[in-house]
Amino acid sequence: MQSKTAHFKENAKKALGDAQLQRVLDKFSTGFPVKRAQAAARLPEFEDLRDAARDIRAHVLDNLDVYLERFETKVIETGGMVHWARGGSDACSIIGDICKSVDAKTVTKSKSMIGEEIAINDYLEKNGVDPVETDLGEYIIQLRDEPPSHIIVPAVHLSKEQVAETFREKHTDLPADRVLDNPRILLDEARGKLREKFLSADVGLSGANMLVAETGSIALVTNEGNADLSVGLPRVHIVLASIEKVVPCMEDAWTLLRVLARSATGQDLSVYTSFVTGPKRSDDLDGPEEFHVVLLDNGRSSMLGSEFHDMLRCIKCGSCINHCPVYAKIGGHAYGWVYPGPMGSVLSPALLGDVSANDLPNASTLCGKCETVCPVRIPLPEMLRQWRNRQFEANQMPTRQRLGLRAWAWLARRPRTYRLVMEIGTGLLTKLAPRNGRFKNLPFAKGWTSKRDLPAPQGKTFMAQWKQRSNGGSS
Amino acid sequence: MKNSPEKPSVALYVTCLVDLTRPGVGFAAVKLLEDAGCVLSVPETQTCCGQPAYNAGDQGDARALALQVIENFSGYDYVVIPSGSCAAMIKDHYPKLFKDDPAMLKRSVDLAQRTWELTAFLRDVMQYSPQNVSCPGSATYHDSCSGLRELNIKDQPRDLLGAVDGLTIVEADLAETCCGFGGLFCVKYPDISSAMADRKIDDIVNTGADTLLGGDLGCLMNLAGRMSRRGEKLKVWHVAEVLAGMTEGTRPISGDKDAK
Amino acid sequence: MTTSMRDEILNSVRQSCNASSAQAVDDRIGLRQPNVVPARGGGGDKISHVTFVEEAGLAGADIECVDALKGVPAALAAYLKQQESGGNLRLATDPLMQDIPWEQELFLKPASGAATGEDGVGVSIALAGIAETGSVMMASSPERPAMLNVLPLINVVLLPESRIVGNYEQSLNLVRGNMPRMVTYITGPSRTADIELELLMGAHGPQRLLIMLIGEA
Repeated sequence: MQSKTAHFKENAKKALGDAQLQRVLDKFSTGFPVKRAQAAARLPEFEDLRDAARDIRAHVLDNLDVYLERFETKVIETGGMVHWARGGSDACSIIGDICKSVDAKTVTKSKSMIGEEIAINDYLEKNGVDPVETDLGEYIIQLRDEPPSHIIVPAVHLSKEQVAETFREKHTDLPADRVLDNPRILLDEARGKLREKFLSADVGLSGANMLVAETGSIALVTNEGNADLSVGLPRVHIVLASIEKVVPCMEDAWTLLRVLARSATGQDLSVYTSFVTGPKRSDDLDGPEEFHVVLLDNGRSSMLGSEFHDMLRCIKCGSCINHCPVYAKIGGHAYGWVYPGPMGSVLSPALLGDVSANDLPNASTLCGKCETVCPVRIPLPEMLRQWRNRQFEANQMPTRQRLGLRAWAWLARRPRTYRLVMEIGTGLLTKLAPRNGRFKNLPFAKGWTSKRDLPAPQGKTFMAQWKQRSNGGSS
Repeated sequence: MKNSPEKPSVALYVTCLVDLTRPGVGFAAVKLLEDAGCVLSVPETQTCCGQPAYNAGDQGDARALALQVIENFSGYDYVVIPSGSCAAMIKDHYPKLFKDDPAMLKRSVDLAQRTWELTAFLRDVMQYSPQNVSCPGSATYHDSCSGLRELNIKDQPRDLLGAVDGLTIVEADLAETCCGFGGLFCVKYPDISSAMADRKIDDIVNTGADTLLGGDLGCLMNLAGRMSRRGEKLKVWHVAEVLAGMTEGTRPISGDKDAK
Repeated sequence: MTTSMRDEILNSVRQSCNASSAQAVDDRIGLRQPNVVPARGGGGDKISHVTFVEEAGLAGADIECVDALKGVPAALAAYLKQQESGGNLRLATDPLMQDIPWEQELFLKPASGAATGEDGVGVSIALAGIAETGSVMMASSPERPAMLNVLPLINVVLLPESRIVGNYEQSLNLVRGNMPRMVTYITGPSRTADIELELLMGAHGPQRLLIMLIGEA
């Protein structure tokens, strides 16, 4: 997917001015946190499970090379094939080649953020293969040629009216004057359309919520059942997963599953939790004849051992996004790439690997809510700070900000000079203050006064008044 | 400078914002600490705790300022700060700044252990409760992010406010949601910041309370500044001003109450 | 090409995993140690049973209890009529299914084989029921094709009461060492909230999940 992270500020401004988007975001940002809190409250062991989940992921990252080898061995043992892809284009050509080898015309896809990351749909289309997204949200945004705005509810930015408009425009074989005025009707129409695709597709392409080293299984979690249909009906199943997704054994998978849905949607467990192991067995009535796993690195191995190592614990539940007060106002598209919200602001700069995403780690108040709801306890605010450290060290901060910051620190390190300058400054501001004590506009503080009034100082500084009081002998 | 446990020596760290814009909060803290029986000092060379530099990635300046604070505030039983954010900087983040310097790490941990946010110190260390203070009306409390999530400050201010005559606390749905201040965030991204403040303000107005209280001047100035721009009538005070009974005759941070 | 990429990736991973230990990994995989297991699933059979029914209900599943396999046709026919569904069934050929007297209900017209896109009702047999979340554990085999659970509009799952366990970990022994191609834990009927967060059942999979709890079987 093309990155638009460099245009963060303009994109955010656009989102803030979009009344329709603000309406759906309001609904979203009040709903999900309540559901998660209820699910957590219903399970006394939830906090212990979060610790256990964190420890499993940390252990895997510390031993990732061995876990990948064990997983690979098991996949091959159970009749599957493993492909390794260094970057996005490598993965695209591996998948394209498999499609070509079976002369595939249609690929059904179950939602995969890695797929978005490497823009597999564009690649397949260019190579004459029709990729069909089957998660309802992904299907809608594919019709609209839009990127997802959330990793678990990709079409959360849209109203039902917008969906209806899209269906009317794209489902041209249906009567143009049909009624499409509620989500049920819209869902039924999509269900009918996608059913044809499920039954006729040549290849099913899925992501993986986990790769189980013990069994060589991949875990697929959905509420719609679209993953099971996408990968169970076609002749070939291709799994596209990033390398950090391994877990040791089935017990560990279940510990992670216990925190995954609760953190994501507030469900105790998603409706369909499937472990897929290898291709169709000899006497099976259904299932794919070929089972391929494409393991993608795409920058992750260089995050290992860096200050962003812990980010790879992420299980892509979206909880940090659901609880982020910045996301709640600007939505997912403003972030400009696949991964929005706090996890995206840590991950995107690492995966994109250039300065284009420099705004993202700064566009956070470091309020810390994300860390309190992360099922694997990733210290997200600390990681955002680490990006800021890197940017500062690499001299990538805008010059005015850097100068302002350094001037403040220079002063603050010289208490006498600081005192002098501050007394003069507050004295001046107090003299200039309007009668109501509030500045509406200060030329050197536009960042503040463009949106807020600035209360004028109450008078002399505390330290000056304290000195007077002390000299007066009162204390 | 050691004192008996009943009369501990306390250094007040007023914070830059209180020092420069609202000294009244500092004097409210002074009154509360003295009422609670502390022997109070205000180290004269105090400036900034380094948080702006720290959060902007300028570790060098942050470390230099942290060192200065550690020097300035050595020797007191306690260091008390009318801000959860600056207190969390010292308690949570100073030790991280010195993680590779054992000697400084030790000193920073020592300071961290002696450092308290004002309401937490009054309630949990001094078992203090305000006497004969009244502030008729209804207030809603904004839990500032650092205090809430880094220092677990939630009940302390509410318990103290419970002893204020005539004051009822109405909880807001989004009491724990960030106001959009975020230090330099609010001037780097004013559009997003003010939209976040608006979401909070809508929620605060919804409570029907006539007053907004909080323990961090940064958040309060952000919310008050935005409220004032929107023409909201709610009065905004720092919790220390209410607890010390120092609201009478003082202009609130914003709101329709006129100063004498 | 792929082989060299494999080595490239693994080498790059190894550079940062310099303390990784094959022994630690094999021990961990071999031990298969449960981590934190919630008490909710219950220990005794009675508690597990009650919890299973409660939790499955919360997840939106319908529950019918019958005393024995021979009671299935009447109960299922009544349920399907109530749902205004037809009586065509696509059956798993699991041995347990052979003991069900389908002929007792003429409304029901069973057929076996792989599920098709037109099937209204699929009937399969669960390997286990998990009390913790009211989930049914389905394992694919030649007798139990996987698509039977997701293609039909109504997903009927037979669950002998004795197969209810407290938690997921207890269900793993049933497949360990011989992992079926597809093991699916189903918790309620298919759903989506992708359009304005309105929760709707029957997204792509079944609109209803009927769990038939079978006594004494």
